[in-house]
Amino acid sequence: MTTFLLRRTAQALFTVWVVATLVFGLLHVAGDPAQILAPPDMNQIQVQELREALGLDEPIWVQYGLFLGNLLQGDLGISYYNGRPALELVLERLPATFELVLSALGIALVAGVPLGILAALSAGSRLDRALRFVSVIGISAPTFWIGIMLILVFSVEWGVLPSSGRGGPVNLVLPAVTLSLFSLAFFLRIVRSSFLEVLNQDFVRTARAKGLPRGVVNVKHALRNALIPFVTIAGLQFGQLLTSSVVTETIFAWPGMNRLVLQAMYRLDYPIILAFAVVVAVTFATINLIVDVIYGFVDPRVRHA
Amino acid sequence: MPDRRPRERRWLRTIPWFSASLLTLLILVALAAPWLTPHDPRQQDLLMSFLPPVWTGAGEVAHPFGTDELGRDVLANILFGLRVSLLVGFGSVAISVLVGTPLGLWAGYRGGRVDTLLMRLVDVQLSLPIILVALGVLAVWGAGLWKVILVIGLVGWAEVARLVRGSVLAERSREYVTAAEALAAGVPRILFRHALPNVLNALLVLVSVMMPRFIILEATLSFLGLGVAIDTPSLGLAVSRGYEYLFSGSWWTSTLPGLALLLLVLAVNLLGDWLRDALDPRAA
Repeated sequence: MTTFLLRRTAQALFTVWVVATLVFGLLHVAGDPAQILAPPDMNQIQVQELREALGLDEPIWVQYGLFLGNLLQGDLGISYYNGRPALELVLERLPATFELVLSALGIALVAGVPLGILAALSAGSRLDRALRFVSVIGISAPTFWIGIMLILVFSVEWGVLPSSGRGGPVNLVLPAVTLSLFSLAFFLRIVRSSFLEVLNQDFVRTARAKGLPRGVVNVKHALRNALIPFVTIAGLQFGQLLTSSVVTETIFAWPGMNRLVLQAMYRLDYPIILAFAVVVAVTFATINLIVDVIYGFVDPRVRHA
Repeated sequence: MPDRRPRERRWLRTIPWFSASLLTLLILVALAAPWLTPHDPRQQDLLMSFLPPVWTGAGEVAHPFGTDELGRDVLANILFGLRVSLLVGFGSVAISVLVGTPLGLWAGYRGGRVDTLLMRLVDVQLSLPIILVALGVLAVWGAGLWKVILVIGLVGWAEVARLVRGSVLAERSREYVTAAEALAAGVPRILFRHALPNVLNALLVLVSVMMPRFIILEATLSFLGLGVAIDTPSLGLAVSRGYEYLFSGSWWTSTLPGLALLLLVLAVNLLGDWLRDALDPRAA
C-alpha cells in the first residue's frame, strides 16, 4: 500500500510538472504580456519598467528556473490584473466551485443510479425505452442551452428561482441541476448497461438456479458487482465536472474558480491561469488516488493483486 | 429468467431509421442552405430586429423563425450554423484520426521506448481537461473556425492513439501478422494492410462517440466567446447572443439555434449507439 501511494504521488507530481511547463510554454508563445497589460496612455519607458517589474525582461531559461523555484515554494505569481497572489485568488473561489460540483454530482448519483437500475431490471419494456430515450437527449443537449432553458422557464416565465449569484440554497438549484443533467443521463446509461452485463453472467445464473430469491440475487450478486467499475466512473466524472462547470458558472454568474480563469484568459492574466492549472492538476491527482483506494476496498481482487 | 435480448434487439433495429433519416435531413438541409433561405445569415436589417417567429402570430412569413437583435434571420443562422457544426464535427474528428492512428499503429507495433514515451504523452493529454486546453490555446491564438477545428482535432489524437495501439497489441501476436512478416512484408505495409483493417470497427465506434462531443465543444467555445469569429454563423454563438436578450422577452434567438444543435447531436448519438450495439462482438 505504501509503495502504491508513493508511486501514485510521484506520478501526480510528474503530471503537475508537465502541466506547469505546458502553461509556461503556452504563455510565452503568446507574445508580450507587458504590452497587453499596459494602459493605452503608457509610454515605452513605462512599459519597459512594467516589464522589468514583472521579470519579463529576463531570458526565457532564467524565467523558467525562477518559475520552477517559485512553484516549489507554492508561489505562483501575482495577478497582473488586480495585484494579489494568484494562488490565493484561485483558492478563494475553490469552495464555490466545489459546492456547485458536489451538489451536481449528488443529484446525478441520487437520480441517475436508481433510474439506471430500474431501466436494467425492466430491460426491453416501455419504461426502459422511455428512460433510454430521455437519457440520450440528456447527453446530447448542450449544457449552456439547458441552463438557458431553465432560466427561461423558472426565472423569466415563472419567476420562482433566481438566475444568478451565489447565496442561499435557492441560488444553487438552477446551476446545480444544469450541471448535473449530463452526468445524470450518463450514469443512467452506464449503470443500466453494466447491470445488464452482470445479470447475464454465469454466477448470477447459478445463484438463480440454486433457488435464491430474486431480490437477493439482484442486489447481493448482480448489483454489487455492477457498481464496482462505477466507482472509477463517478470519480472521473467529478474531475470532468470540476472544469466543465465553466459554462454553468458563466451562465449563472456563479463566483467559482472557472469563471475566474475564463476572465483571466480574456485578459491573458497568466499567473491566474497557471495557479488554476496547478490547483486542477493537484485536485485531479487527489481524486484519482482516493478512487484507487476506494477501489481496493470494494474489490478485494485489486487489494490482493 | 426469460432471455430479454431478442425483444431489445428488435427494437434496436428500428432506431437507425429515425436517427439516420434525421441526420441525413440535417446534412441535406445544411448543404442546401443557400437555396432554402433567401437571407444571408450576416445581413443586418435594424428595422426588422426582434421579429418573433411566424407561428406566434406576430411574425412575418419572410422570417419564419424570426430575427435577432440586429434583424438577422434566425432560420438562415440555423441553416448555415449547421454547416459550421458539421464541418467542425467531421473536420476535427478527421484530424484526430489522421494524427492518432499512425502514432497508435507505430507505438503498438514497435513497442519498447517509443511505446512508453507515446503512452506517457497520451496519459498527460488525457489528464488535461479538454475544454480548458482548448480555451487556453484559443485565448492566446485568437478566435477562428479553422483554428477551432485544428485545436479540437489535435486534442483528440490521444484517445485514438490509445485505442489503435491497444488493438494492434492484440493483433500483432496473431498468425496472420507473423505470416506477413515471414513473407518479408515491410512494417508499414503490415500495419496498414493487415493490422489496420482489424482495428476499424473499434475506431468507428470511437469516432461516433467523439463527433458529438466535438460538435458540442465548438458550440461551447463559441458560446464562451473564444471559439469561431464573431461573424461566423455558429449555433453556439447564436445561443450566446440570444442569451443577453432572454430577459427582455425574445426567447427565440437562443432557443431555436440550441434546439437545432440538440437535434444534430442527438441524431449522431443515436446512430453511434446503434453502431456500438451492431459492431460490438460482446453484445451479439
